[in-house]
Amino acid sequence: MSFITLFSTRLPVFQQAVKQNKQLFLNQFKLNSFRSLSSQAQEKTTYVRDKPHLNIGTIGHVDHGKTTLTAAITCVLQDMNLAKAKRYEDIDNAPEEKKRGITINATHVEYSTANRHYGHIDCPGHADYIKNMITGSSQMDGAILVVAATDGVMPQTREHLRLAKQIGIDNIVVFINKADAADKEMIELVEMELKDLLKEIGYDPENVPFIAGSALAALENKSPELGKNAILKLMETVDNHVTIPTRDINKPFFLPIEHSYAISGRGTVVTGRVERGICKKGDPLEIIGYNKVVKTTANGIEMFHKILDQAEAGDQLGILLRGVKRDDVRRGMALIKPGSGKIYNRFEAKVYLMTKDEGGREKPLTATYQPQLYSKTWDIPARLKFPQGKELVMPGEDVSMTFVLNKRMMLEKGQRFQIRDSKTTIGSGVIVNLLSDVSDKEIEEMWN
Amino acid sequence: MFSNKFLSIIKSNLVRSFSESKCLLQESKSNLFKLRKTTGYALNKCKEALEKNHGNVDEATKWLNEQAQKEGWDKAEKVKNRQTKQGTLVLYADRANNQATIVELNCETDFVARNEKFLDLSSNLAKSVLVNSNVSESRVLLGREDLIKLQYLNESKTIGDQVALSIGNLGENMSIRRAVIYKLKEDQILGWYMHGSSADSLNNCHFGKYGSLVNFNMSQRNENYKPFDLGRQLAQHIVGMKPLSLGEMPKELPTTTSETIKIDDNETRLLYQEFLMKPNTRVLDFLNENHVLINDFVRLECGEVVESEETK
Ligand SMILES: Nc1nc2c(ncn2[C@@H]2O[C@H](COP(=O)(O)OP(=O)(O)O)[C@@H](O)[C@H]2O)c(=O)[nH]1
Ligand SMILES: [Mg+2]
Repeated sequence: MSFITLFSTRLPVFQQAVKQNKQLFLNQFKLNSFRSLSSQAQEKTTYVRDKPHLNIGTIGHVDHGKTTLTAAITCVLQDMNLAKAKRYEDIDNAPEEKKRGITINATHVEYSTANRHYGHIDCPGHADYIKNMITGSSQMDGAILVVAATDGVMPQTREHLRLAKQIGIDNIVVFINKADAADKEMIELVEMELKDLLKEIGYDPENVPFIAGSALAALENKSPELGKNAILKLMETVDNHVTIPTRDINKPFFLPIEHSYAISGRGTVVTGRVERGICKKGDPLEIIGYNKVVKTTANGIEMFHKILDQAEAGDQLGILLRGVKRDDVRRGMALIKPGSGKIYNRFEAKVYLMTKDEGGREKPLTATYQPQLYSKTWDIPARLKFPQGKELVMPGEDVSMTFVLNKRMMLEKGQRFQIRDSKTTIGSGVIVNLLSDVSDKEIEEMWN
Repeated sequence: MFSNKFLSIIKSNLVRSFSESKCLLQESKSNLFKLRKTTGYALNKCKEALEKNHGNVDEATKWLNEQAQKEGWDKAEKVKNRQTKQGTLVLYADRANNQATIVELNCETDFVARNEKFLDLSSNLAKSVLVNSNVSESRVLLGREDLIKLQYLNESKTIGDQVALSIGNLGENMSIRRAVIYKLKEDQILGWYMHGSSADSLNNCHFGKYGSLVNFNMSQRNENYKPFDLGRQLAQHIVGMKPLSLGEMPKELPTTTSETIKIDDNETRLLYQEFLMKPNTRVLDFLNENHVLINDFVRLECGEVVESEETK
């Protein structure tokens, strides 16, 4: 008898949890069968359906042609049945969107190339970039920097590029626009200016491709060399230059623990959704969090009454752990490939405080505020420290600050969390730096 | 850097000087390069300037500078209907003369609002407003129409001219929206706070999204606070807690401190709000403790909707 069948008769709670996951499981099943279907289909035709998805965006000085370029890309790709053309006006009127309760102004456009599927954002404002980074809903994998050859590098060219660097966009492709209204000499000079700028900001100019063309010509279907062909060349360059982020399944195993159950005579079962990597029966594992690091082994993996050989990113399941005591494990801890994660209690984060309209506070935060932080499956009381010279944070503001958690938890750079009051979420944050631990004694003092 | 490349262009030029036409082309290129580098004007403008002035860089520079003001006004005309919802407040306090101003300058995107040229402009506007506005009352509010006519620094142009010039340079619509000026009497004390994303100041000015000025008196020397810090704390409270009015001092002073006073979270009268820096204490109690009397205060938020403007 498998451990879950055995245990579902005794512990209805877990069964319920599994029932909720039934839908997930079914979806997984559909996906699997679909995969096998499409691989059969592949033998007959070369049409591949699932292309890797990436997020990119247009950045650059006002009036240099970002919106025109975005519209032009969809137009050119529509002719190849890879996109639905968007009109300039549709892109320009950025609708308000809510992500994790935070309002962001940005238009999302989507299209495909032969190899990839892209989500495209047409240059949001500075605040929207930061909010996007904090909510993480569409972290850009690359950016197209648009510079008009008629103007050259302008103030916002610099500001946007600097911000792109700050928020970790490594892949930049430059589109020198308005080539129809400039000559070769001007385009060369713009290229030189840009190389200097890229270098100044910390990009390797030799590693940034340049394409010159005219977004307007492409949109209006004129002079194909500067228009359509330049757009195709641009997208081909984006395809080749912007690297695909590592897929979750290829990363080390990580499961944020949702529940744990002791089954007498067999050990402890933990449940949750696998966030990354794979785990096979018999693999060594580590449970970390709440100041503890416990070694264990996967004794069995089960998803909705079925025994699996392997747990994969995306699966909602239960894992039977060998030799783990009931007290060693609890909700909020992380089950990981040994050594692939560490516990910390102090970090620096970029935080956005929601406005009253977004459901946040009306009053500002002062440094005496004592929030509860929520991330993955844990929630922990925290203390905060503002940067030098900052005494309050107003709702609607983004700010860098340092947090100290009451317990050491598995934390990673780029991890997102919510800041909560007793009742409501007041803000969101993203970890930008992990810092050395605060001693237990200091922690005790801070909490007294 | 640029100049290195520039030199290498010239060098390679010398080597190949037997080719006359090539040499000419290279020279015009390096002139364009030079002009663009020194003036920062748009490339096509630099090109036009060289063409109009037969390749003479000095004359082209002169032409560009003359042209810039006109271009600025042209550009300003072209973009005047674009919304300017972003921008900055800028605070300039002249402690020696017990006076200060907060000016609001708007632009289209928050990128430009952070740009150094934009901040530089706004600081010079704030100085111009405080120095050239010639007001005598202790508190004056000026709107756009009055502001654009004021002299810009000690130059022979108006604030309006300078804003138009910047519109040409930065490429975005901009407008100076309003200014509040405080000119206090000798015994009055000026407190101020500007809430910015950074503590940076430029030209002795402070930038941010929220700012306040407060005019107060101290009837007794205070052991706990310097007047400057007290003013800053009060102004900080005003920024954070958004009081709408001052409220009236109660007739009788609080007798005992033992009885706890209930403070309404939605209180909009400054005196009766909970003091941001001291939980469970009303602003008025804090004032009494420190022998302070508030005469007047003002709070500005960048981009806020003001009712009187809306109805206009
Ligand atoms: N001559 C020329 N004009 C262009 C080109 N691309 C865009 N424009 C014009 O430049 C102006 C600004 O373009 P827009 O896409 O709104 O710029 P954004 O502010 O960067 O989004 C519009 O009037 C466009 O028609 C181009 O390739 N050639
Ligand atoms: Mg646009």
